[in-house]
Amino acid sequence: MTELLRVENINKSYVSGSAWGGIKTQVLKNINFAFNKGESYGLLGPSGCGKSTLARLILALEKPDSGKIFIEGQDIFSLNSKELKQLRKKVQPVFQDPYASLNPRMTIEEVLSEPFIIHEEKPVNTVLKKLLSQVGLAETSLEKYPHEFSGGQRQRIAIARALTLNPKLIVADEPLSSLDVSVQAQILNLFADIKEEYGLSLVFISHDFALSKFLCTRVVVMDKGTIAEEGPAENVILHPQSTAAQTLLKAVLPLGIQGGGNV
Amino acid sequence: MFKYILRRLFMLPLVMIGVTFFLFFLTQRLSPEMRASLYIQDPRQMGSLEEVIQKYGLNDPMPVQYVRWLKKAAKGDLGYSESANMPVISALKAYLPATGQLAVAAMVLVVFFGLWLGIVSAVKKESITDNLIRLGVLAGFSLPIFVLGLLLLMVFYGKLGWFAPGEYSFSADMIIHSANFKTYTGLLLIDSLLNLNFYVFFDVLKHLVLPAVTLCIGSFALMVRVMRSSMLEELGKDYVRSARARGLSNWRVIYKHAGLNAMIPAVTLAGIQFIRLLGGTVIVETVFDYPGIGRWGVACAQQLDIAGIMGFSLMVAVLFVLGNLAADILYTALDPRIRLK
Repeated sequence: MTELLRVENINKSYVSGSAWGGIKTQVLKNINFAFNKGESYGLLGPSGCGKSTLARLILALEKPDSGKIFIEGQDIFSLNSKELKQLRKKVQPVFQDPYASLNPRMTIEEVLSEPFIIHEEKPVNTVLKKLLSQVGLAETSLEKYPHEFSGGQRQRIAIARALTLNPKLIVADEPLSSLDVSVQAQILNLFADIKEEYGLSLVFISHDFALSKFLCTRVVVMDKGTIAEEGPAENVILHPQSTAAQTLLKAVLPLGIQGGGNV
Repeated sequence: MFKYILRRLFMLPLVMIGVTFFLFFLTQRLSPEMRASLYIQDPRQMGSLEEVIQKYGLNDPMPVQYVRWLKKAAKGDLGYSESANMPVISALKAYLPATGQLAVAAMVLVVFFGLWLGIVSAVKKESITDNLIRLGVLAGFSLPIFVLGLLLLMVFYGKLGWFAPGEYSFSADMIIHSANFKTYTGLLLIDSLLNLNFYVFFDVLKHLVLPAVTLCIGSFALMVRVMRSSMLEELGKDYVRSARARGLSNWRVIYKHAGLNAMIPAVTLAGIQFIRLLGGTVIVETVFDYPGIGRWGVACAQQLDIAGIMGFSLMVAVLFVLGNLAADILYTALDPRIRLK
């Protein structure tokens, strides 16, 4: 099996406060993990633990202070702009808030065509329609604007947009957390379907064990910018070793969603 | 959309009636004798004050007098402006183009440079450029326009002699009033181009610089500030991030995605600011001796030129409604979520 993603010794800090001297906070400390093609990784942790920052780094939207990230063996922070543009085809995001992730001024047709246009390909109408039906939306959606759709439908559009360039990896940053539970299940199934069909990998960020277990083979539990635990999804959920994983599990257990674990 | 515009235009007469009724009510606070004296050119005729009051019905109840004024106004007769020495209609025709030119020039500065600086400031957040822009914005807010106007005149006219007050220089005046110079629109900037007379064009443009800069400064500062914060908000949204992740070039992300969306609140503001500019012309035109309706309005008020005051306010009310309407239309063009009904 070939390696798809490798995260090596990643450190990242932000300076908050004014330009005249702010406070430096380290958000990510020495992060390491890797996985192979076709595998899916769940990134778990409480809010503020650095999951989303890590996602932005994998998407090459920001640069780390130190460390490297490899996608299919390519160091993404050493690429020139042309190479980086090519790399972006392989890694696509799906964000948390479907109300903010679509440009309100663009029709769905424009939203889905844009990735092709950016990469100098011609958007073919039948391809766009096929994408829409794949995510369970009507073909007539093309000429509509984002505000004419519900949150769940918008998330489907965002997924369709992520699929346009045939990526190898989709980084989904809490894609379910702003949807209600019945819609969550639908979108979760959609992720499972496209994973199968496109043979792609997921980095699935969430703070919900049950959801990650459904999609991911392995999970990483993060806490305060470090990796607290890493391993096969089953193992971590049934026998959490770290306190971070145990607290996270306890936080959802009272709802009775979880199968295993000890109350 | 079309229906909406029609309905708004239908509102126009109502606004005009409201404004003029209120003003008419205010002018009625003056005694009939004071109002009658406006009709008298020669002090020796002062004895005929009673006659004038009788002749023009200045003692009639206010609604009667108002309806009389309204009837005449409907026929296009707004009376005679004492301060301008011509009928009010002619005065409006003579002064409006200059003000229009000035307000549009100021608006262009506000919209183009205001939006642009707002974007630059947001994109380079907390850099030296951003801090300089913000400092300038603060200065723009703090300077009253009459102070800024006088300061600019002192430096650029008094010391440097670059920009003179007035609408054009004496030599341009000779050309404009010669037989060869044809008047098409009354707007000298456009007319001079249509006459292919670039000397006049640049002369008029040069005279526009100081008043336009002075007039726009407050709105300009506000525009930069609103655009900056609106842009910062848009830049933090996920559609901008995902556009970057798709490989869209940085400036396209900034202008095409974030910029156009950030402009929506700024454009609503532009409509209101246009009206604020019209109010500002009263001061700016007086400071720069610029022959527009603002300066005329001041003269009307000083000389109790009631017909002039009414005509001036009527014009401003019309521009007010049209300015708001233009902002609404622009708003729908920018934001597909808004459909006017």
